[in-house]
Amino acid sequence: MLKVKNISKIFDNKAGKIHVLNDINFELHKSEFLAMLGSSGCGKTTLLKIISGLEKPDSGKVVFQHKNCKTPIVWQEHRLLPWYTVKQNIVFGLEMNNIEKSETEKKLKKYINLIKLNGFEDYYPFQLSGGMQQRVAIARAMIIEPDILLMDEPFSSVDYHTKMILFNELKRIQKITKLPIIYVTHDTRDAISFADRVIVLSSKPTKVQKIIDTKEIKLLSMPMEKEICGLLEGQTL
Amino acid sequence: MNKIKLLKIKGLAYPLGSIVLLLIIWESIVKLGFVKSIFLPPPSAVFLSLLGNYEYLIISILITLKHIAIGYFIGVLLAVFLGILIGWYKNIDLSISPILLIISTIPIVTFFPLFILWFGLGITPIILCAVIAAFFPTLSATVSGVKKVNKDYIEVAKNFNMDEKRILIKVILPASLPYITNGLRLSIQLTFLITPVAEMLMGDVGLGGFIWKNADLFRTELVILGQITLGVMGLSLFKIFDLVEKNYILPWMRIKK
Repeated sequence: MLKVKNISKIFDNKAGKIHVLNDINFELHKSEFLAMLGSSGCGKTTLLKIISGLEKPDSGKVVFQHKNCKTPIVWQEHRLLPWYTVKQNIVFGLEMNNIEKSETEKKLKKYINLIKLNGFEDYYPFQLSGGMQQRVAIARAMIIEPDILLMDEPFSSVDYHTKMILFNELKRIQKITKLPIIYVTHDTRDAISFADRVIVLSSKPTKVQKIIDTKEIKLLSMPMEKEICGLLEGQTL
Repeated sequence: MNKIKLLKIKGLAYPLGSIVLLLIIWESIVKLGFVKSIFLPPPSAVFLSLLGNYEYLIISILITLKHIAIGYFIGVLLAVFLGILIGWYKNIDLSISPILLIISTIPIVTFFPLFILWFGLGITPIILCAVIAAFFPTLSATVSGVKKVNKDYIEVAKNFNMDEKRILIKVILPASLPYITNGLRLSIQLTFLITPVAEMLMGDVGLGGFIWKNADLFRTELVILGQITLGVMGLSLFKIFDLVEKNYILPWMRIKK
């Protein structure tokens, strides 16, 4: 689906040059749930932005299976537009597609059903709970029928119970849509529990430290989780 | 009687009471001969002058409202359009903002003689003064609003491959609306202050002209009637603006409040 080849990124600031990403390489397979695990501030978001085209890498490239791949990001904060209702926020991504109104309505209904927010179409984002807001953000990304869904710690601002519900919903949606997902997180348990593979990133500069198939972890259970935690703890923050 | 009801009654009774008291004192001062009625006519005379001149007054009100409305809408539309461009495009900001800043510091009424020279006597100089009055507060509010738009929203739009024109209309404009609305309010206040002054300088149109002409004729009661009318008009305009703002311009903030 996607190949990330030798991506490097350097930021210039007052303190000098900061090497954020250093020679990142990995692949995303068809229908895969890929977790990208790294400590906070290690450059995971920058990498997602590079994949989605919002940032340009200093070297390396991102190769998609076909041209014009749609790669929306579900952000850590919901980033819903406060002046639009749930309905308007969800169809926001369709603005550029110039599709017919009836088609938009049909899609809207489908994705409102998918995120189970029927009856909340005319609510404004601030009238919803944190979990509901994130579900709307997911629907906004899903309605454009993306080729790859990028998620930047989207459930970090909700409580544990809501997070589990959202994770299960995400897995359910992925099962229906077969959508490949890159899920950025700093939570080892989330990564192991829900992803097919986990890319463990080191920090300063960020490098791919290890790529792990979670099926193996699930068989080996805790020791592998401890090993990943050890990899992350060993990093200088 | 519950507390809320009592507060509501107080809220009405106190201002009404003080107005009635003021009218009584004013009437007595003149009637007792402390002030000559040619300088300060009693409220009763002002009221009687209304009965005899209401047609003239209504025509003047309508003319002033027309000047304010035309000037305001042209001024704020230009200001929002230009404000978005200045706030969004750095090069436009750098080249136009200093010139606009200099113009904005010039007292508006000093443009009036220039406008008369350029466009002659008529309503054009009055409307142009109203346009300038409406333009600057909304312009500076729009520029600030656009510059302070949360970059996250722009990133979301870019992530959905939205083009620049749509980003400006669908993201930048609504995101800066709380600022723009503040500018619109300041603009209506300033336009309301400037327009009657321009009418007075012109001499015979609108409520400004009504006041000026009657002052020339020593009809002080009509001068005061014109002033009170302007006060009531101003208050009504600001109230209407608040209602429009709360219900139509910022509905997502209305519910939030």
